[in-house]
Amino acid sequence: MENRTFAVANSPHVHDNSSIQKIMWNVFLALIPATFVSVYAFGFQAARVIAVSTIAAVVFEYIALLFMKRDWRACFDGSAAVTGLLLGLTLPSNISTGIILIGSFVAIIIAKQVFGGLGHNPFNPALTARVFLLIAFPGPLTTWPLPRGLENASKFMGVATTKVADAVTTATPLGAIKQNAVQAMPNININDLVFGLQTPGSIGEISALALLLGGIWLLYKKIITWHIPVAVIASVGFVALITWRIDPKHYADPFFHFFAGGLFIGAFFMATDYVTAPIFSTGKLIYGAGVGLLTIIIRLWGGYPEGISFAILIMNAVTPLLDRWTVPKPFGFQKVRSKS
Amino acid sequence: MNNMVKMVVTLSLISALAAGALAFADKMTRKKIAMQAKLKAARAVKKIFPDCAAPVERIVKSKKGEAITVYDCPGQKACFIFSSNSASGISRPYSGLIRVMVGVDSRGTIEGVEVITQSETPGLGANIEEKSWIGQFKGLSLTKGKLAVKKVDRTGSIDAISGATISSKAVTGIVKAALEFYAASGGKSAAPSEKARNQRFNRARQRKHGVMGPRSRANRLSAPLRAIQRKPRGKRVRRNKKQLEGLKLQLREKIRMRSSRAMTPARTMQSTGGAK
Amino acid sequence: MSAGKEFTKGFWRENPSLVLLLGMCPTLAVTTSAFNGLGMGMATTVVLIGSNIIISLIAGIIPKKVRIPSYIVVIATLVTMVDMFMAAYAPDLHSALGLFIPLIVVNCIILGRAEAFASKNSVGYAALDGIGMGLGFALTLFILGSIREVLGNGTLTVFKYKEVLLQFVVYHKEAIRPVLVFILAPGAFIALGFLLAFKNYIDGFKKKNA
Repeated sequence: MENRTFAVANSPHVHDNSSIQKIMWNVFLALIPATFVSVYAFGFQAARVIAVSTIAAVVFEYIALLFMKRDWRACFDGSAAVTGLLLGLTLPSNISTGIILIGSFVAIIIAKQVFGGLGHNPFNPALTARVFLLIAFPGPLTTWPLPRGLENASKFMGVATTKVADAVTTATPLGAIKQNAVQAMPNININDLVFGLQTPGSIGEISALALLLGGIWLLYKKIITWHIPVAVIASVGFVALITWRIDPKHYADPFFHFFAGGLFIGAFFMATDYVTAPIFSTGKLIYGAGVGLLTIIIRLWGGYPEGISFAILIMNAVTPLLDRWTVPKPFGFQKVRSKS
Repeated sequence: MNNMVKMVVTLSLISALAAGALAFADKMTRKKIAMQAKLKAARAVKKIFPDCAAPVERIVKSKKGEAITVYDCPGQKACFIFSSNSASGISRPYSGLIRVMVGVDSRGTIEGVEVITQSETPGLGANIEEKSWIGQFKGLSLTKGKLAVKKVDRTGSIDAISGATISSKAVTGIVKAALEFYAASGGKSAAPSEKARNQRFNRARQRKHGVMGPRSRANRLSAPLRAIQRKPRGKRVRRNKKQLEGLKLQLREKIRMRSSRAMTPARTMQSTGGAK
Repeated sequence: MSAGKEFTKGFWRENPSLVLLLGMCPTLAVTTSAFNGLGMGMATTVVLIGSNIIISLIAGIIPKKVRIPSYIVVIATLVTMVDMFMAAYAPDLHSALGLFIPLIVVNCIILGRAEAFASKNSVGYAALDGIGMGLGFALTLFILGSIREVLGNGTLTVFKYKEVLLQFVVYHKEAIRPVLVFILAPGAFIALGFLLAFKNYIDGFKKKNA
């Protein structure tokens, strides 16, 4: 008889040759269009923010792994780099380097490694860092420099721009609607929002089209499934449609809510994070709908103009429950009837 | 059973001893606490009007029935403490109660505002005590400038503290309500408004003719009397003449008491900052 | 156990906030400045010493079934008295700590020490335990308050009473932007977490070298 050894391992047993590196590189690739648009719109400053946050995230990952006596090579698996890149994309382009460093520290050390590293963090690290920064430095995180082509504008969507020390700042489209809906409404330019070349905002959120391209790439590569993005966008659109039909003077139309702010980057890149999103399809749909509803509720009636980061973090907290609740029935499973 | 008795006795004994200790402590500190509160108020008055050596205290009832101590200073200036609970419609502080001392001159222009008590977040909302922020109110009045936070109302003249909009809004609301209160009731030196003049006229007529006197309908306080006189719709309640006279008498007495309380300066000194 | 050990255990080995994790409410809520932490710690110390002494004296005569209500009555009385005396003689401190003084009543440290230590030991040890635990608590609160104040506001307030103010400006708010979040509630949790980790790190280090 031939002597054969059998390896005993946990599931999954069927493997499609994917790895963390491959997935992360695809996410990186998918974010490239949005990055290019922002570097074109905000110039060198945007490149600086993205570079600093990405490199700092990798360095912090390296330090944390050393500190915990783990294999330090894991810092190059791409997950830290993607976290850093996503964090950079959610910040305004004129933010100071010190704040970016604090953000990367919070993302990698506090939100990720403290919980046990990749796969163990309950909350999306990039968004945790962004919300931390938003609460810690409310001023710098809510002043937005004007993009190329709008430098000398005195008004954006009816809201006057202000001159600070070295830059002219303004409100984001969502901020303008929040401040004075009636005045800002006629100035909505969906074209601008889609292409994002003349829209103030966070570095990565300005161009809906570039983000959509990235999202389609991820779907095509089967990195993500359609459930979460579709549920998020549909629920935002549903509430926006109702409020817009009831009172079009004070509530913007659904298309504005789709293309303005961070809905696309949130729906395609943040909410779909493997670690913090539910595993099963039903759970994903519920999760996505929750994110969308919370986002639009915060946008329309909350204290902040944009709500997607809060919405995703809140739904991250619900994820373990959803995973438990929506376990699909195995094929052929029947409930045992209790004897009566 | 014996055990039960023992339990009851020990617990009662401990409670009685505790009550005794508390009574003792209260006796020792009550005067001191009242004094501290008064001292604090006096210090605040001094801060707003440094040349006001001996402010005269009087007590005015606010719309919500709260007794508000007004410190009159020479030159028809006055200071008084107003809190976020003194009037309705003030936007709520972030936590607890905010009491501020507002100093106004004879025309109702703010001369200074001092925070007496607050429990806002230290380092954030607690910055309402900082001179650089609270000093913004100086020189404003109900007609000069707009008592609103810029962040809420673009035409407002108060800059909110960054990160503490709620606290800033609350203080601004208190100051505005305080000025309104002062203009309506406490500002004896302010030129009497038409409404105040009417009220005074009505009160004088009441004293002359009694509440039921000619044209007393204009008086707010006679509304309950009208209700008695009017034949009630639906259910008919018959009252004989004697009953009606008795009711009238009672109401008249009440009205007299109320108006006299509001007009004459209180003789008793009331503690303002009291125990919590 | 020696008297000295009863006194010092509150500072490190059985530190109430860092090891026993008792009294988290004041630990997290009042430590927005170093002085607030110190004041709260001192007020707790006074109550703790008083309650430990009284409870170790009366523990023998209290029937077991009513011991918890009795302890609570004793503690509540002491807290109310501290509150009154503070309002009378240290009004500035009182207005700073105001809301948290009544909370000492339900502070687990006091009831915990009463139940776990004072009721089983003699008066002298109970008093030493109260002093040690109280001061250990005060020290922890002071350190936590210092961290939060320096990071969140750029200052370090060591002492503040009436006109006397001992405050260091660590850095200027205009030059370096303070991390506001450390003054707020989430910052308290983060700072406490790092303090705990740091203490455990040192303990582990000591164990390895011992």
